[in-house]
Amino acid sequence: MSNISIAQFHKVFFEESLEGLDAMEAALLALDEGGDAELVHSIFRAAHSIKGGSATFGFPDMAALTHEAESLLDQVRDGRRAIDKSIIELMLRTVDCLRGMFDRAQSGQPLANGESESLKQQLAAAVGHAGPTATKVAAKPAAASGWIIQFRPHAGMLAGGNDPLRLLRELAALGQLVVEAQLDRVPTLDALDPTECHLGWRIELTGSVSREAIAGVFEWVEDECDLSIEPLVAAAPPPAPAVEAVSAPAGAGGAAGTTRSAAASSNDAGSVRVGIDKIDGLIDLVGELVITQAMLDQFREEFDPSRLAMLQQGLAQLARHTRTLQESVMGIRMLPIGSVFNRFPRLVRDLSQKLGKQVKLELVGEHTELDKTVLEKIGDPLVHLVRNAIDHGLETPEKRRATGKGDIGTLRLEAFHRGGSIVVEIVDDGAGLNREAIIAKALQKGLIKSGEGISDDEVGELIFQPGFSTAAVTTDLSGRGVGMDVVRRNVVDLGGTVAIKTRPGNGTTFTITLPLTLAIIDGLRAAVGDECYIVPLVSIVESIQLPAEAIRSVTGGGELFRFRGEYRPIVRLHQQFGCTNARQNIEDGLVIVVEADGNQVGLFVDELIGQQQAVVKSLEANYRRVDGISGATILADGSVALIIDIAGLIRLQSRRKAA
Amino acid sequence: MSDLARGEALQSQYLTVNLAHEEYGVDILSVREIRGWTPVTRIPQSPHYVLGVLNLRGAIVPVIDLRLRFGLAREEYNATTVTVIITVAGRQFGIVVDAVSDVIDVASDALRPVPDMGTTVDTEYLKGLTSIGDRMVLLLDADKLLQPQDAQMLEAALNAADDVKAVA
Repeated sequence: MSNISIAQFHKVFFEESLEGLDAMEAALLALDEGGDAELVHSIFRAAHSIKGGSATFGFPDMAALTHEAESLLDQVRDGRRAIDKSIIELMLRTVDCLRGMFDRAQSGQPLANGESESLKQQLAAAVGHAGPTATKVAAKPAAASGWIIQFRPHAGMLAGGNDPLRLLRELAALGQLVVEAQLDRVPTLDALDPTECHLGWRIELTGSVSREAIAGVFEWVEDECDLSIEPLVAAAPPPAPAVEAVSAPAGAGGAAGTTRSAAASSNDAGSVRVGIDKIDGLIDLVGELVITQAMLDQFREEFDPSRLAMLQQGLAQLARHTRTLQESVMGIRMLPIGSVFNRFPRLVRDLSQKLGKQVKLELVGEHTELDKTVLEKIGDPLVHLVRNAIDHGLETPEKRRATGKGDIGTLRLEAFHRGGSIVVEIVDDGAGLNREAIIAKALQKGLIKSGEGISDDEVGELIFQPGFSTAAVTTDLSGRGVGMDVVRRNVVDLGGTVAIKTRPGNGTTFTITLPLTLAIIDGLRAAVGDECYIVPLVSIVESIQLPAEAIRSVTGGGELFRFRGEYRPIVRLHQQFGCTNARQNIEDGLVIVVEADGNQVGLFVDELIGQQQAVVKSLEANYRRVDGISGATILADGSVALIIDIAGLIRLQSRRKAA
Repeated sequence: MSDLARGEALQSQYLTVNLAHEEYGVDILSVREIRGWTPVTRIPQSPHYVLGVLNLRGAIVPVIDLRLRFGLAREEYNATTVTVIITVAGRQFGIVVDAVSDVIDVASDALRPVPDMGTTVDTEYLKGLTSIGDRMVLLLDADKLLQPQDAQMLEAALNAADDVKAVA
């Protein structure tokens, strides 16, 4: 029974520990670029939580490894050892190794392997290298440092539900305690009020404990006691009479309690953690909604036309609240893209070291929020693009110098809102795409007929072909056969697009455009014959009315119109979808200029009915995928309207033409 | 009590519907609800017998006309025309029939195989027939009504794959 109950907490432990590892990694990387003591503390706290947790939950191998890491960190923290590259490298490898252990623990495999053992020895050796004095000190931390705590609760502290004994026990978990009770304020028995606290304590705490940790214990009673915490200067004075020695239990649980907040604060991927402000906002909104409902409810009892204005006002309020509520609820699914960006500093550092390149990584817009589903699936494509940029895009320092650029290449990841979409850009200032190599490869694969007259952007499009890799030598970093086509497919699956801009010698920019959310879209209702379709607002460029003479017919049945200086094809929706009773003459209807994947077409419909939000429902759940249709939605009258998939529709049209 | 239990074990109930003067039975356990005919939203690029989709309490449910499915002439829909919503393998769909008529108990030994008739109705969608008094009831195999679409789905998927290649 007890096994089962412990196992229930494993998931939480894994989650928290993995977050702790992420925090450790981030802090180590920051330290690599010169950081302060606070970073060391945060690394130490994370390691300590993991050690405590793994010991508690029965993963001794993990605990042993973290223990060594912690000892090393302890030396750094106490200033007995300067942090250097070798320590950071060692710690980073430990982080990786621990991640592997967590993976294995989750699938129930044995944790220790050769790597972990060797790391443990290296860490232990590193700890030993601190010199004989240091080792001695590390072995007997009791003599090294300590604190004298004067703790005198106010008389009313017990009434507040605070138990001094509990505080003492918490202190005992931090180190060795020598506690001296101060009885001088205890009144005579007849004057004693048993509900008041008359005792004080002088506590000597020995052990390497930070002042914050001690203050943390007293955090809740600060206002209800006189407290002083002073460093233990000389050797501990002989204890005075009435001494009670509290033995310090090996309290991993208690110690973990003080460090948990630090580990949990940094990262929030994995499960949806909703900010309390978001929840409060929702509660407020629901309150408003209830008030509005109550107001509208009055009209049910008695209604006379004189109160029409009030009714209208109430309905307008209802609409506003519903819309805000909907946005807030969707907001719960939104998480900052920072949780994906966080993995890149490490990746860039490792890759650039391996390839002998110098790379400066800039992360911009980490707070941009994305739908959780999108967030989970965008990580791999981004990793691929970043790898590519470092492997193929950025040059070695020698080459950069030769072309008059600085030694250090820049790689920028930027996320921002544009219209109804989130844009993620991966920008490098490297060599740009190798035009000749790509054209040669495309010719060899028969993708193009000649290399003449192909623009740089068209060259960029070529690399999205399946199985297209120009790397002369396939390194172990990229070019494993998972190509740009997979990147594009992943993004398209999310309803997004990838575009590439490249200038030889000046670098490459990949632009990923993603929908804000997958569940609700803004759309225009367009009537076609007896039917009505929803056109996603994000893909609409403009709607225009065209005179019949603006249409140019081309051989093969195609129709073109001139829009902003370019000829664009016309898609007659009623023909594509086989609608009846639709208007046939262009001048009778409306042409909606829509754009997808960089293609613009004119969508010929009868008329626009109005704008509305559409909750996207799947057609596939009960039926199947339909070309040119991305889903369905339910209109105000309860009937179903289909949502047009512009990209699919354009494909459909080109296929019809080809057939 | 024991008689009843044994009886239930051997019997299953069928909802009978009328279609072109014939009586068809649908396993009552797969029937979710019966609703009057309401217009549906047509889906482009669908077989002619798929009339469209309707909103069933927030779910988008396809509706097929059983007459068209069986290759019969389409009738004008009238007051008795109903949509029977059926759940098969977690998927819901509606079938439009001329009218619902009865719920019958069919003992498993009263189930007769369908003779190969070469008639207007494709026997592929029938799992047997039975008689109630002097009426004959054809029992529908609901699993198969939407199934031939698998082939179409495969075709569509292949087309889509070609598309990706062509576009990429």
